[in-house]
Amino acid sequence: MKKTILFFGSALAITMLVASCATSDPNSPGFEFAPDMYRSPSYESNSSNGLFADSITNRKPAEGTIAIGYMPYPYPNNDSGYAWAGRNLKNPFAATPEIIAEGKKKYDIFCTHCHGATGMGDGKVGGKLPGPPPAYNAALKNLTEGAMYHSIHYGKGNMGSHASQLTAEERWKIIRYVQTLQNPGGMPAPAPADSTKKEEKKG
Amino acid sequence: MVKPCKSQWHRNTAIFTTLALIFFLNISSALAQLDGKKIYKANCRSCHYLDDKSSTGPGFQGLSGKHPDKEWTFKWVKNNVSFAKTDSKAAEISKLTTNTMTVFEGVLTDDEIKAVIDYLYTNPTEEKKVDVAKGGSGATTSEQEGGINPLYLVLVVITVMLIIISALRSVKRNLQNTYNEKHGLPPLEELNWRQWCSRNKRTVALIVIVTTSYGLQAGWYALKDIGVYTGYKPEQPIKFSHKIHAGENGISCEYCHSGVLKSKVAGVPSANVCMNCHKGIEQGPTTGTDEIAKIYAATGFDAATKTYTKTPQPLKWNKVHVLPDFVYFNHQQHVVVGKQECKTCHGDLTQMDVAEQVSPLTMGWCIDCHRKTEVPGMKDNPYYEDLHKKLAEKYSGQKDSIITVARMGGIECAKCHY
Repeated sequence: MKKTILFFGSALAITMLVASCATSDPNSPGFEFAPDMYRSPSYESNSSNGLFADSITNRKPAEGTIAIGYMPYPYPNNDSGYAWAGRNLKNPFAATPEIIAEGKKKYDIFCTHCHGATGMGDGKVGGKLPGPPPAYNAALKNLTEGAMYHSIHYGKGNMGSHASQLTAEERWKIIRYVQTLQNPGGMPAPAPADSTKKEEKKG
Repeated sequence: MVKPCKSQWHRNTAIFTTLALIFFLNISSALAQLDGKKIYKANCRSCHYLDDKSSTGPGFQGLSGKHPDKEWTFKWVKNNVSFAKTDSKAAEISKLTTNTMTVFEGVLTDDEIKAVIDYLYTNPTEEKKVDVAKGGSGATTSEQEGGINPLYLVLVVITVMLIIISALRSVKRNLQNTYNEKHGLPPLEELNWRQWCSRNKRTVALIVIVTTSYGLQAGWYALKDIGVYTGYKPEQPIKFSHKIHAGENGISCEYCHSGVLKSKVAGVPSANVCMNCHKGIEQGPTTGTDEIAKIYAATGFDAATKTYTKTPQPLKWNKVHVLPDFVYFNHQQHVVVGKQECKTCHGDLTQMDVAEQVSPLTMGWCIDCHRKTEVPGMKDNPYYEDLHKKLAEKYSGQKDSIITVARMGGIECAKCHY
């Protein structure tokens, strides 16, 4: 009898204990059944890593290496680079409605909050910057596509570099859309798609 | 003594003329100022503040003292590159920084440049910004509302009452014993807990039933919650508010979690993405400069000089949505082909100050959705044409002809566990 009481009593106590462990502390995920099966022993993206002094798992590529399918950007981050890119860089995509639509999609994600939905520089975040971005159809009306690409790659003024968020293709599509904002009346001057240049980019 | 005007008429005219003159002068100067201010805001403000703070370019405070010659300033603004080649002072200034100023020739007309210079030489000051966010919404966070769980309150009340009752009982007992002693009666008998139990069987049964059922219920829920992290809402190293960023400022989720369309993981943005805006925005509506300073520390940014000169200190964010290592989940697949919105699984983050896990992320939850949901990206995809046709034929006769994820094999074990 004593043993039975002891058994049930301790069973109850343990249940209560488990129950109390699962209290809703927002900082604790709760009780984990098999942590060794849940948590990966290998390093996941963004996880911290004791092997490196800065504890970052996502490493940068070794200096001087080039990833497959990626073209390094040759223009330096200074004024001559900006001018040079502005003169030389050409958009590999033609200004077709599809490309412009794709560009708009990306523009809405990556640009609207500062440059505004219509490129007037009236985005919600743009208004909080010390100086809002200039409007595409005014101060930036004559900005060349190469200069835009350079600015997306390195950033300009209060704008930061968007190189880590946008691929080369995405940037060129956005630029096609921005050109329609530079000339809100009509389509931009259609630049013929240069197939050789496109190959070069991919290669 | 001032000599009075010869006639009333004369005096009135004089006053009227003076007033009119002042009025028109004011209006015309106001117009010119308005014009220059507008041009300044549209073209210069991105890089130059009106006070002495440096942005991309130097601040304008004391401009009229630094470059008193308006003609010189005009030439500099119009085309600083060509001007620097002919003018020694301009050449010197252009050497101060690697960022050359924009050439405004062709962007602004000569009159516009003159208007903006006239405006800037009046030594204008920065307008005080009205902080809408501070006064309006976002002043209180849901975290601070909290309060005490009413259940705990009831428990406290019950405990206090029990203590009072037992105290009163012992007082009564002592009084009774003293009375009995005085009148030569035997003292009250001392019961041990077993005797007490055997005499109060009903009370004991009640207590046992209540505690057991509570324990079982609590235990049941506790067991059900093992490995389920719904409500997990860890404190982060920076008090980053999704509500302010995604809600009030309307920044798209993909702006920061840009891996979501391209990769298995949506990704925690690296601090350089924060700096895309916070290079310019040094103060937040609720935490001031404290939290944003942490981004600067993480990136090694020196806010005073606007350069990355310090040693970066990586941020250790707490991962909120943790899937077990033995299950495969791919964001790209769900968002690009499945066309699922972020909030389907992550809840409405535009309303959350602190990111919280709202979905259980259990297997049952996954499968429920796979049984109900169509794959919209499959229909127009030529790669799946054959498969889609076959499946459409197979299920066309049935009452429910939707081709769900499950019907495409989305609940096969090996789909996620391998």
